[in-house]
Amino acid sequence: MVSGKTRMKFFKIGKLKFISHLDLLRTMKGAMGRSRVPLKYSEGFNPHPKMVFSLPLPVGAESRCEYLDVILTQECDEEKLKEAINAQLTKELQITEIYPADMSFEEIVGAEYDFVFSDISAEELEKTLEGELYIEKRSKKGSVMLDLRPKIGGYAIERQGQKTRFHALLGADSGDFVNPELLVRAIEKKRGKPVEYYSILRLELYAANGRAFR
Amino acid sequence: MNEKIEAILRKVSKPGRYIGGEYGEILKDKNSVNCRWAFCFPDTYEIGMSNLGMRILYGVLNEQPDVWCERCYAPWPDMAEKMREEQMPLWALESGDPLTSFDIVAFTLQYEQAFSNVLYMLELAGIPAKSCDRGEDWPILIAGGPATYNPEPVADFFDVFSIGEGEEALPEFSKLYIKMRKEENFSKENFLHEAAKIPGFYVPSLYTWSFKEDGTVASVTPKYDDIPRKISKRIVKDLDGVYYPTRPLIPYIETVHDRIMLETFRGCIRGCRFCQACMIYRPVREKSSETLARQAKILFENTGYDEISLTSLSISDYTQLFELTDKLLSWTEKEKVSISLPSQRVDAFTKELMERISSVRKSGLTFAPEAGTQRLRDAINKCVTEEDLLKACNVAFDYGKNTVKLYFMCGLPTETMEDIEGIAKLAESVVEAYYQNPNRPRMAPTVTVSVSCFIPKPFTPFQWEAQDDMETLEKKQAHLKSCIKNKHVRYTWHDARGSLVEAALAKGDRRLSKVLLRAHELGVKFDAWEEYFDFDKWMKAFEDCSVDIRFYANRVIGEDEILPWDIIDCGVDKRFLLSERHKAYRSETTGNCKEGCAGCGASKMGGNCTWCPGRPE
Repeated sequence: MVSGKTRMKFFKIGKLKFISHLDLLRTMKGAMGRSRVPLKYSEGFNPHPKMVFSLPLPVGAESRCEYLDVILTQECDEEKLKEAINAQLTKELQITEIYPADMSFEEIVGAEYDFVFSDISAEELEKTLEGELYIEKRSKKGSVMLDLRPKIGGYAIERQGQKTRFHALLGADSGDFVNPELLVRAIEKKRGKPVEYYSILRLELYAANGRAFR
Repeated sequence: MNEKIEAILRKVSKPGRYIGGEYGEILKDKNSVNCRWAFCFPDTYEIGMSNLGMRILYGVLNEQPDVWCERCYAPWPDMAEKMREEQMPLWALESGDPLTSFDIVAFTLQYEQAFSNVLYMLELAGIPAKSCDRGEDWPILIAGGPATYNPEPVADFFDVFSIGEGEEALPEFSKLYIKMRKEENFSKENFLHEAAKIPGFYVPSLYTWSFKEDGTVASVTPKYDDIPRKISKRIVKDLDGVYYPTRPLIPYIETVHDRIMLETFRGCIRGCRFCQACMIYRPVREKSSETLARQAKILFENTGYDEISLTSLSISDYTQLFELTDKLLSWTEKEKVSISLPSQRVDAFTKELMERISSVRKSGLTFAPEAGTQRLRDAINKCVTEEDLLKACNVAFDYGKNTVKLYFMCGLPTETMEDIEGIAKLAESVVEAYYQNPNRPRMAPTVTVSVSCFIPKPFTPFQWEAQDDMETLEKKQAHLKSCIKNKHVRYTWHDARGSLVEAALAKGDRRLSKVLLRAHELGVKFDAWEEYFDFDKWMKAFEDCSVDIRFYANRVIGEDEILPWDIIDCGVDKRFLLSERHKAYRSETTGNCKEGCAGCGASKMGGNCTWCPGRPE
């Protein structure tokens, strides 16, 4: 049974990678509303359920390890709750686990990704990753040139048919978060031409000392 | 999802518009159905998904096990460009199949500015625009919706039109298609001939139109004796019994109306003389508060939305409004659901009503006096007085509002500069009323005056009227601007140029099809969007086709002329429209249906009408 601060792990795959963070928030709110999850609401003029998501996922990336924290006002059976909410979601967005939230999102320091590139060879990618990997990062304060290379932890490159798979651990500290889309831009910039087709899948989040986040 | 589409979606704005797969989407096995519809809305996903009519028809068509209806919306120009580059024809959201692989491609036409987008979508789909260029292998193209009450300007593009309400008509059309498809020697021509015999269906290729030298219609003749000379619109007689979608699709991305839409009644009792909706949706038929309360609850359970919008043309005229709101309030507050009432009339906006709707506390209030003086308001039969308006505003001020938006039209028949000045005066009296209200909030008021240009529409008493030419409209707009001196009054107005094109398309005949085609070739699209409306291209299209836009927009039509839309019977008699026109010139008003039957003629359509004489008790 769960109650109080509760974590829901979910995946967001397939075409739902094109749904933005705000749309995801609305979708989750709707699904929980329909399945009558006893959510704690904010006080005030326009009450809304309290929902906190973990690391942002850029539009266009898939993930098997998204987390959403809610506050349950009543005790619920995890399995029944999961089933009820999933029935209100489509098959490309489903909750896989519900449990009491223990670790804090602030503990997240790294994220593991699978990139697949259609027209970069393993050798070319290897070469691209040598030395610096600069990209312009725009923010409200202006733009800065950023070297992404030091933020790539361990990685593996392997050929996958005609394609190249790039498996990498990227910094995901709140102050040092590497947007995987930005990494693709940086690779494109360094090789001097855009990638025809690529995919990004987030696999796992990590806390300090290589401990898996949950 | 294939890689090519994915690669494109990474490069366009709002990719969520093109992926489908929403909760509540209807999927079927295409091999087990006998009739596939691609239902197209010629505007963006966000607008199309908010259209109740399309949602009803999507649901009702899919109720039939052997029919699968899918959806398609107009891709934004950035998407269209990528699709052309990659040579990807326009597809329907559910199956991802190109429109060319469907049996029937349907368009709902809600406004004339969407006409050019029909051609834009057909081009993206790789479907020839003109029906005469589409042989047996092409899908059947059908259109419906309020902008098809005059189908003639788009007659060259569609094989058939469905006139009026579609809940019962479209399933009949599907059935006929399935039946005839099974027969040997199916031909489109035979099918369309048979379809033309179903009440409410107009097959434009089966009618010959001839024109006089002065450009007016000489005659219209059916090519067969067994098809009607005049097509009567379809209505649903019993709204309590008819299908209503209670398991709606829930979009991922934000759309215009992310809320429960509860349709309370169809038609309007008022009879404002400029209003097309009022006439074409008659007779007035209500849904009972029991049916609505039940559907609202189911809709809440199935959507989780936190707002219920009671839709109609004029909500305060719903006879069971208080019964319904009381039934809803018995559970909505607990569930944190608010009730909103769009389309409120000034003369019915009361404290009692205000207390029942929580949502007005959130948003601003909008009232539509439409004209600046009592004389002109009487002429257009908008039976609202200055006193009514100030009373309604005071109710709003009592409840802490300090902003009010007022809608007006300029260029109305019989309008003078005095009427224009009246708009400024009326706005000033609202400001004055604000400062005289002891309960007003401690903020400066803002009264927004929004002025659009009058567009004479088919099936209204003003259908014979000319639209003011652009110079006159612009002069009037400038004059009004100079009259507004109060710093609390904000003035916004519509572009007269867009209104000119809309007027021509609204009252056009089938000779406008070629102008539309030319405009499309020149790149016209998304006319309802300011950033895409291109007046110069439209003018060039008219010029290139040697068609005078003023003939359609700025000419007073003779009362004995055959009108392009005379082929359609909308229920309301032409004789009634004419007498209303004459009363307008005398600034004489006509009472609403509640006060007594004015004899518009719509009662002959039958149905459970709320006010028509001879209605079943």
